[in-house]
Amino acid sequence: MGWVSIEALNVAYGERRVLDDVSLRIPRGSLVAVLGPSGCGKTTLLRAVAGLLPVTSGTITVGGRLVTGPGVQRAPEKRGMGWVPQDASLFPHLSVGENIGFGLPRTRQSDDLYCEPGETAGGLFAGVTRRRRAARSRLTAPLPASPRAGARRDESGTTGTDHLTPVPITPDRSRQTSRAARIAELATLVGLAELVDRAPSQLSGGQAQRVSLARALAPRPDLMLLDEPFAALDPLLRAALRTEVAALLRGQHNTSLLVTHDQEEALSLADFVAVMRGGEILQFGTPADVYERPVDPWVAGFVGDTVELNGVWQGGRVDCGLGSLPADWMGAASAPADGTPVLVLLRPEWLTLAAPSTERQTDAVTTAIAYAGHDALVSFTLAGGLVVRARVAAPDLPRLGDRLTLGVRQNALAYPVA
Amino acid sequence: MTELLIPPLETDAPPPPRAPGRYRFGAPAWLLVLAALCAATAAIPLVYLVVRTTEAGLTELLDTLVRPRVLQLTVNTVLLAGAVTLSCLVLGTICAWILTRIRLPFQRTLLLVSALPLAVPSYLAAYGWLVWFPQLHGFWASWFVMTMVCAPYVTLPVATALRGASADLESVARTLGRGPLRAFAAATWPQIRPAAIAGALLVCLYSLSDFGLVSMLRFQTLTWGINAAYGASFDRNQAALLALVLVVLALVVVAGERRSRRQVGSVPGRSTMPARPPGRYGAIYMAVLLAAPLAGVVVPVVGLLSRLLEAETLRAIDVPRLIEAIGATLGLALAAAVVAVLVALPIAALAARYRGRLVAVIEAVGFLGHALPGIVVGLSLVFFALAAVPMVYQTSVVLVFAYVVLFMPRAIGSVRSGIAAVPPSLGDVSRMLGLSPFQAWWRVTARLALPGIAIGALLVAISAMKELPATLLLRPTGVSTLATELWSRTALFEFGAAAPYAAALVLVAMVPAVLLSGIRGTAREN
Repeated sequence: MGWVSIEALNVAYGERRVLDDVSLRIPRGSLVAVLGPSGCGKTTLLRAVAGLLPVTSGTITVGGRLVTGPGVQRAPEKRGMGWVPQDASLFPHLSVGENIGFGLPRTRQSDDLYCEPGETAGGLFAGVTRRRRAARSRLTAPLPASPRAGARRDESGTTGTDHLTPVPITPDRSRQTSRAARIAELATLVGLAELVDRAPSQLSGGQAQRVSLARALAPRPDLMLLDEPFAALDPLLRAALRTEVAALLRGQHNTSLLVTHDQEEALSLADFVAVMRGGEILQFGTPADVYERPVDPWVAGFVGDTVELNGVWQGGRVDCGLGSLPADWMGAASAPADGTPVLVLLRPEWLTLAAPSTERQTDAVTTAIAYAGHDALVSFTLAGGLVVRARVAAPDLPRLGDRLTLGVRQNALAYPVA
Repeated sequence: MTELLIPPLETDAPPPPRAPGRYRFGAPAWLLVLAALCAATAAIPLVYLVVRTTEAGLTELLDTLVRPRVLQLTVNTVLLAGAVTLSCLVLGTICAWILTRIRLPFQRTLLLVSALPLAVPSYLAAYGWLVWFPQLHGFWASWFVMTMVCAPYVTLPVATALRGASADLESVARTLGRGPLRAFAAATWPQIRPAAIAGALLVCLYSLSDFGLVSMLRFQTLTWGINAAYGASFDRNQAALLALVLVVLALVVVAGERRSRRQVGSVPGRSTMPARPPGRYGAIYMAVLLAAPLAGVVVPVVGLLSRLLEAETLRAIDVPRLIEAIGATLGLALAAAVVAVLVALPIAALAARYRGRLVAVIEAVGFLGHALPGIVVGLSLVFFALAAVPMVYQTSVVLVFAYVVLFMPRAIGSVRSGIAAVPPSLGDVSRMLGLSPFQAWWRVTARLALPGIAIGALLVAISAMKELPATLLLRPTGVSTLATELWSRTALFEFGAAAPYAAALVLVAMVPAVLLSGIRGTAREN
């Protein structure tokens, strides 16, 4: 079972169903990307998990705690989740440091003392805030071992109790961190330690997004929700920041749910990718799974470039324009009878080039080259007039008009003809 | 109606796009109910007026309608409103063009100066002209003074639209062989048309509902007729009927403006037309630009000062009475501002964040006061208070209520844009960081929308201070404001005795105006 588990979630705006029976399990400490075209319902899914919009039916549990379910709709502020919106959304009237500290509880007695969840500052009655109570109730769930949970393990000894039962208080001065120290810690973590006194309007887009991330991380959420956090940045910055953020989230052992429409972002960052379309999750798996064994041609086309050919199934092989290729059957049912027409799918980088051979007849003519620096997408026209595209590393590029023989280095994928 | 010293906030920067500021889900029921209740208060005068008039019976109604007297008043009103609107449209557009396309010295000051007539209530301008020319009266005098007072309603929005209009289209039209005027008509006019028509609507409503100016210049329009019929007190049905005719005229104007407000696709071009040097026509440009401020502000104010500084006037100032009037004016305006903002808040919060037919209806009802002439609201509330709540009749409660109905649109407008400018994602973020909905509202949304809320309150206060017809009808016995004192003295041609009140009114109304420009200044810096 996952740390976060979403079961049969439905969201409808009137008649229109935006989420249709969505189920998703997120293992603890992993980063899951929900990938889909715009309007597929991925942001709705994120907002439903956050509790920012009501669901029609379904359940959401985080660490064994039911946050959405029949008759249960926990308020967003009691879910213990972090939220990084697309446009950073920093509070313009607060400084960078105050933004980061926004979610840290202020206790009544000592304003700048921040405590680990479950502890109290300076006495029994200090600052039993709503958030603190929520944080404490979180601890009553059984926690799998994780470095992050280690700090709290002693309190979670009383597992399985009702969250209203008082948790034994073990004052431990050494672990009390001041609020200011936590802010400084996070500012350093995102590399903006010297900017804590700035106003948000003085930050660049990338810096603002880092502050937004630090602000969400500060209260140590159980689950981080990231809503296309890099979409508003320019491409160069986007690539740099996203690897940095992924490393940071992993370093904090955070469980994260990232929503994006950028397949490169999803494949490169996530431990698991859920491909979504029209309110449904079509495929859930590791990035390699999704890319190399897509469940249907639409998913294949959405996560990367494809070469599609018509072929005929012949007992583990397909006959197509590239000859007879070893193939895997990707349909739902068992492999079809020999002679059944199928859709053959390849990735452009699975095609290999060889010198023209005299014996083979399946040679091809180079007809177009889309040069991209590190590699190129080369179009070949086969004997029958069929065009296929191959990704060729820059040093091996053929010239226009060259005759070559194409090989395939991986089993082709065969899908039922729609 | 709208006496703003400074062009509204929107004229400085294009309003933030509204679409992302809204949620896709319906509004919470409690907010809908609260907003609907608040909006319903604005509908009381109109609804009660209709009820009251129809009680008299339909045949009698129609009989009264076709009386030559009623027809005469209606024709006068329509003629004046039409003429003033047309002249303001022409003068305002020309002034806006000069302001944006000609490089004149002291450009910013000129813009401020051309907004100045808005700070002068129409009856004060009429008073100022009467000081110089006591024999002024009739249609042309009313038309002239009203045009000078109202022209900025067109000048300011059109200047803003012109500054934002893409010059690329006009350049393209020129390269395709059109002359300067035809290129302007073909390429730029469609871009500024919505602003011009919105300004013309304000002018038209203002001249339809104006009471002080026409009664001082003795031109008999419907507002004058309503006051006369009410004063004659034996025929209050006639007053109600005239009020209904006036309301119908105002609503027709508003509906017409809505129909003509076609969606103009924004033109992607970025470059704006560079201002060019005035050349040899500089003096003419300057004269056109300064005509309205001169006639609408300088002439009345100088007339006022000349009367004020006469030794006889200074000796005759009734200081306790003046102070009493100032106190009443300030107190009423403050109460109106606070109540109006409180009533406007739920409507504005709803309109800024949610959409839907019900929301649109609630907002539109809240804006009713915009189309209701002050004298109509005053009259209807007299009837309403007498019939429904006699114990508050002739108390300031009814008067403050009238101000709230009349000026709530101003509060709704600025509070709404204040709230809409706060991205809803900030609310989401603060919820996710552990704040309850009300904490999030208080610590984030309200905090950031505060300038908008304050501007709304100040706008209401300024308008309430200058309001005349509703105040005349509803003020408690023995209470007079600066506006009513000024009016009653001018009506008796006691220009000297009126001068201290006029001066006090100008000074008192300047306080919120100065505060307003301060708030806008800081809002702009942020």
